Amino acid sequence: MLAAARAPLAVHCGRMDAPDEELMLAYARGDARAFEALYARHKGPLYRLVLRSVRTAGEAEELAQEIWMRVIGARASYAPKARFTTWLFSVAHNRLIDHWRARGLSVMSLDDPDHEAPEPAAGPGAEPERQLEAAQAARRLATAIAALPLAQREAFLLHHEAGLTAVEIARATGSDEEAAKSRLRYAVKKVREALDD
Amino acid sequence: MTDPDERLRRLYGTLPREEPPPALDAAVLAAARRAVARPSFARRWGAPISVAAVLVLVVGVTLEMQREEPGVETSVAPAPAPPPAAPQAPPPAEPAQAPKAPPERRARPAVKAIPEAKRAASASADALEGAPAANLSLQKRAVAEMPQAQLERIAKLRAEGKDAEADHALDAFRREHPGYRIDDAMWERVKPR
Repeated sequence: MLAAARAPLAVHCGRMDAPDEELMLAYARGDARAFEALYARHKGPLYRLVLRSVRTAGEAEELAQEIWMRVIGARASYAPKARFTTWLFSVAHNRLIDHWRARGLSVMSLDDPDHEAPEPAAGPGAEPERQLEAAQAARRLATAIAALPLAQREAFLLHHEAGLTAVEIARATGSDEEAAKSRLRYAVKKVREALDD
Repeated sequence: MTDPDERLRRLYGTLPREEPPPALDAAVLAAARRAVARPSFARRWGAPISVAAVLVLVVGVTLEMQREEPGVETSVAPAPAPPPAAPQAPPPAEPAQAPKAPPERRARPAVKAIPEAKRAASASADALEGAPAANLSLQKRAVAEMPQAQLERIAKLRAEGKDAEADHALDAFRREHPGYRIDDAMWERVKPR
């Protein structure tokens, strides 16, 4: 009877259109296929966010793997209080914070909107062959994003890559809504200025 | 007129869509499968196996007690055969009363021993069934424990120079609270040395 009751959920969760939160809960109950669907859905945005936040592709791979490991490890305590995406990127944010702290940065300095990026992220210069293929405007955009201060870059990527709203960015980064809005606004302004130059 | 945010979004969409390498996908998915494969077996079969073990114990002890002759009180623990000759083979010349009394006295504990064995077995069943419950409540308590209190504990370990223990606790904390943001002051106290 229990098996019969569980079957429809497993089938449902195997579908690609099941909500993220449901997939994560199904995974917490032991449904590995639910995680596969969840991973397929978010691996790209998460990887790109990390890739554009750090120096090399090697670092990005290592960090992305650790973030997913943390997601796997936290399955039992996961509770859908917000969108899964917000939670996922809060996990990513915390791992990135650890990464930057290991390079001698504090959260205070990350929060400073005028604080310049101490390390340029993997922009177009990191992969010349890609640079050649990319359109000039896209190259300038990538350069502008890479030059943003960390907190602004993160807010920009969370908005454009992960599709988070300012409120969700605030939740994911543990900051208040006004600060998140301000970072996003500054980031967009600087990127636009760079594109218009 | 194009919305500037929309223009930026479209331009962002033209950036390369890098994907994680297949090796990373394989590593993450394998870890995800491993994580749910192990505990699910233990969770599914651990309790039934415990209950079955207790039942076997109860039945075994009961049968053993019934098979034992009255007066043998050490039946629970398999011991060398007690000397039954004295009470069971009274000399024919003796009056009947003498041998009667001891068997009664000995029979009583033997009869008691079955409920006692059952009680003991049942207590151990409770203990076995209670063990996960107790663990669960401990786990719940651990989960309910405020992250800040856990960090204080890690900071204390650092202060005491127990770095290996603190590293382990910090890893566990990160696994348990991946979304928790550690403030700068606390980070200084708990960070790996």
